[in-house]
Parts: sequence; structure tokens; C-alpha cells
Amino acid sequence: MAAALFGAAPGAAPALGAAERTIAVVVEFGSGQGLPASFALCVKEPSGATDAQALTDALVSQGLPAPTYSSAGLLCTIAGYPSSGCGARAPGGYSYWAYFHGGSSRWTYATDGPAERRADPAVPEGWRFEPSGHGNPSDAAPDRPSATASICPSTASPANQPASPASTTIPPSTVGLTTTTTTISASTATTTMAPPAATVPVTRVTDRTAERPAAPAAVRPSAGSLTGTMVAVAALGLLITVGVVLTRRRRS
Amino acid sequence: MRRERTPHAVAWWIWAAGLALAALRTSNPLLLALLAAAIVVVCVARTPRDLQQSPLATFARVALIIILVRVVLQIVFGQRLPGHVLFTLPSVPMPSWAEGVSIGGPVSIEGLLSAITGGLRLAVVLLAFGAANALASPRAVLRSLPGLLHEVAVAITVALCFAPEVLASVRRIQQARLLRGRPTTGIAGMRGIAVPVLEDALDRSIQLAASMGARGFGRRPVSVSLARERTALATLILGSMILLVGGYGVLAGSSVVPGAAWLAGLGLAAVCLGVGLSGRRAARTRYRPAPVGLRSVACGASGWLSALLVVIAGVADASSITWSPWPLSWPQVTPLAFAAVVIALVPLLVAPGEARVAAARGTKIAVS
Repeated sequence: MAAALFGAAPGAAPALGAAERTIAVVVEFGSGQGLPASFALCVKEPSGATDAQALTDALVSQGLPAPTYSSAGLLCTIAGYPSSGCGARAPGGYSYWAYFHGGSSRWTYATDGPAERRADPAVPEGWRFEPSGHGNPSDAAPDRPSATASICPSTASPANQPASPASTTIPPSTVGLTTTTTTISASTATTTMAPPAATVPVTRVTDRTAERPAAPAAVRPSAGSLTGTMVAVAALGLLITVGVVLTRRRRS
Repeated sequence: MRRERTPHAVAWWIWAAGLALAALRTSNPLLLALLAAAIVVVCVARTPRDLQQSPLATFARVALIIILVRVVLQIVFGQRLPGHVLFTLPSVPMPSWAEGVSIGGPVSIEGLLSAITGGLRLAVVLLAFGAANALASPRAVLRSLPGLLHEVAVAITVALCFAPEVLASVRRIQQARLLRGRPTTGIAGMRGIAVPVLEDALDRSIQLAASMGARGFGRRPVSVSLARERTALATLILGSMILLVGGYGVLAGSSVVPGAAWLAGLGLAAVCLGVGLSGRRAARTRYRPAPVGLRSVACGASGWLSALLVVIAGVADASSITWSPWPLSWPQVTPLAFAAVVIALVPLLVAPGEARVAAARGTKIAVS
């Protein structure tokens, strides 16, 4: 049971037929050498979906690893970055993924979590990695403009969207390299190219979307190395047996 | 000095505190389950009492309730992180000012596992102290507190005796009312029980106070100067406060408290100084003082060594003690974390079983 369970993609398919809205997701890794390039994605979500769902769908449909969370629900990694640590102490502060709500004028530091926030087409979802942040609103906001119109220009004219199966579907491995802004339909999990660059007003998204961040080889131990689990389960069984035998002996 | 036969009562509590610390440092359900099993095995093997009446059983029941409550809260109000949805509850739309609260919605396997793990962590802490309760009476621990805390210890002992006395009193009065055909439930029953119980409790308190006064508990030794006593008490209180802040900083493992380790050390030094300053205050003799020997040291150290190993395992490889259901994966137990569990079982070796203790004393255990 578990093997099949663990293998499945965690991006649960939203209810089909629900009214879909386009949600803008901005992910920035900060500036510095050797960091993955930042990217912006536009994902279609049914009404009622959360920001966390939108982020997962956006990443999974790009072939990127789904975001991971700590046991307390704190977001640890986006697209497998950073490879270790989750909200860890760092030289000069605290390194974590800061969460922002966009708007027509500026980004605001979120006071809620992505799982509690209903995805709103007018409020883009902003994620910026803070290598030495402070965990408060003084931390740097994403560099991109915060308005949906500048992140997902195609949403202004939905009629232009190529929605038929005849539209160009490109494999996830190349999608980030060629498109300006990618529109993803979460319900079908296919990646369709936005209208040709000529008809789309070129935005600042273009240059930054040049590269897809490389997923680290292994964030978690692979399913193959189950020795630790097996030994521990065997030991647990042994301890329980000893406990039961002792209790029986005590009673008799 | 009498020869040490069983670990000192304080040693058992130190062992339990170490294991509770180990449990608080990890979020790995498999490691938590192993720690819980180790605690229960040590307690069952080394408790004279019947398991059904042991405090461990009571604590285990509370621990189970905690896990259940966590799961129910997760289902009704929990985090709605994306995951494998088991079923969807009808959700109540919340107004914008209360968007942080979600009622109902999709219930995922991940959310349930996270709730169970969180509950399990608290359950292991409770089991550890339940085991300590069963292995050594808290009264025996309070008896061994330093002289400066003598009055506090007396107050706590009285309070600890009070709770079971009240329960017994309630039961007695309930029985009496049943025999007389009076109501024992509802508001009428409660009123009928509460008044005699309170009267009973007051009577007992006055009786206890009188008997303690007769035995010289309220007396202050004349030999100690008041100034020295006050200095010692101030040092102790200040030291414990610094220790509290520093200890929190060390345990939380984040950048909340700067220089947490130094603060903790300073606080500990101040506490020791305070205790040392007033060490000779309580000029009272002890009846059959429990000796402290190698067995006690091994027992207390094993709990803290276990905690230390868990911490080291976490520093060496954070993923070995932390586990999260997002994404789902099998929890792994590394050799270091495994060693922590084995070391938690050391009291099985150093503490003799009840039969051997009885044989050494040349007495027969009365089965209670």
C-alpha cells in the first residue's frame, strides 16, 4: 500500500468543472552566485484552493519537486532548495522562505500561512528565500512587480488562451527555457505555451525565467534504503513482546 | 552508610527527564515509539506494583487521549497543506478577518500523520514522567531536595497528598449517598457531595498542619543568620530565572536567545551557589536516608546520555531525528538514534528486579 502511496504525486487533482482562476506564483532565490534562477508561474486553480495548493500544482506541473514542509507545517524547500535545513539559524540571522502577498502596488509580508490563504487571482503569491533574514516584515520582498497583470499578462485577455488540445504542449524539461510566462492548467496537468511572444506584452518576467532551477538529487532518503526503518520496527516489536511477557508474568 | 540496593528516587526522575528531553528533540515517529516502548519496558520490569494500578497506566490513558484530541483537532480545524486527500468534510466559509481559521475541508493522510506524531511526542513525555511516578514516589524526591527548598517541598508534599485524599473522600461520600438513596449525579448530587468533601478536606488540612507543627516543621533553626538566608534565596531565584531563559534558548535551538548556553551555565552556577550558601539550613534528621551510589548515577546518566545521543544524531544529520509527512516517506532510525534507545534501557541492568531486592532484604513482598 505504502509504496504506491508514496510514489504518487502529492499534487492532488482539484475538482474538475469548478470555476478556475489564474493564480500568479513568484519564487525568488535571492541574488548571489550559484543560486537557482528565480521564476514566475501562472497556474489555474479552482475557487477555494489554497495558496499552498497553487504552489504545489505550479511546481509539480513543471516537473519540479513539490514543496516540502516541516512536521509543524513550516515550508522547508521550494523546488528542492535549500538542500538542508528548515528555518535554520544562519550567520547574521535566520534562513527561511519568506511568504508575501502581492497587490497592485507592493508586496506585503504575509501574516498567515499558505495553507490558510485562499488563492486570490488579484493577490499573487510571493516566495523569497532569505539567507540571513530576521523572520519579520523587515525582510526583503521579491524583486518582481507585485501586480498580477505584470506577472501573468495573459489573464487580462482570457479569450486568447489556447485551450484546445491542439495547442502546443511542450515537455517540462524545455518549458522554462523557451517561454516567457507559462500558463498551467492544474486540472489537466499539461503545460501549454502562452500566446506567442509577439502578441504578449513582454514583461520583466522574461529574462528571469530563463532557467529552471535544478532539482537536487535527493532531498530525502530514497525509498530503497529502508534498513533503518526495518531494524527499528523489529526492535519495536521486540520491546513490545518483552513488555507483554513481563506484564503477563506479573499478573500470574 | 547503608549499601545501595536500588537507584535513588531522584535518579529515576533524572532518567525520566532526560528521556522526555530526548523525545522533545525529535519528530521521528519511529524513534518516539521506540522511546515509549523502552520507558514502558523499564517501568514494567522494575515496578513492584500491579500495572493496572500503577501511575504509568493513568499517564498512558492521558497520553492516548492527547493523541486522539490532536487527531480530532487536525480533522476539524487543522492545517490544509496539500496532500493525499482521504475524505473531505463540508467546510464553513470564514469571513476575511478570520481566514486563518479553517473549519472542515479536505483531510489528508499527511495531516493525520503529523497530528499523530505531534501527539506521540507529548505522549512520550507523559509516559516518561508516569514511569518515574511509578518507579519512585514524588514524595521521596521532595524529601531529598536541598534545605533551602525545604518549605516549598513541604507545601508540594502536602498538595500531592491532598489530591488522592480528595478523590478518596469523594468516593466515600458518593458511596454513603448511594446507600441512603440520595442522588449522586446531576446538580443536586454535586451539591450534596461538594459540601462534605470540602469540609472533610478542611478538617484534614487542619489536622495535618497541627501534626506538622507538633513535629517542628514550621520551626526555623536559630543558628542561621537571616541575611545569609535571604542572599541564598535571592541567588537561587535569580539563578533559576536565568537558567529558565538559557535552558529555553538551548532547547529551542533557534536564534531567539543570544548566548543561550552561557546563560544556562550562569544560571546553573547561581543555583548551585544559592543551594551551597544555605546547605546547612534545615537542621533535621532523616529517617533511613537513601544512599546514592553507582546504580543511581548510572540510572540518571543513562537518560541524559540518551538525550545527548539524540541531540548529536540531530547535529550530525538533521533528517535522522526530524521527520515530516510532507512529502510522505518512511521514518528512518540511524544507528546513533538507535543507540539512544538502547542506552535508555540501561536501568534494566543496574536496577535489580523487585524479587531480588526482596531477597536481599530477606522479606517477602506483600502483593498490594
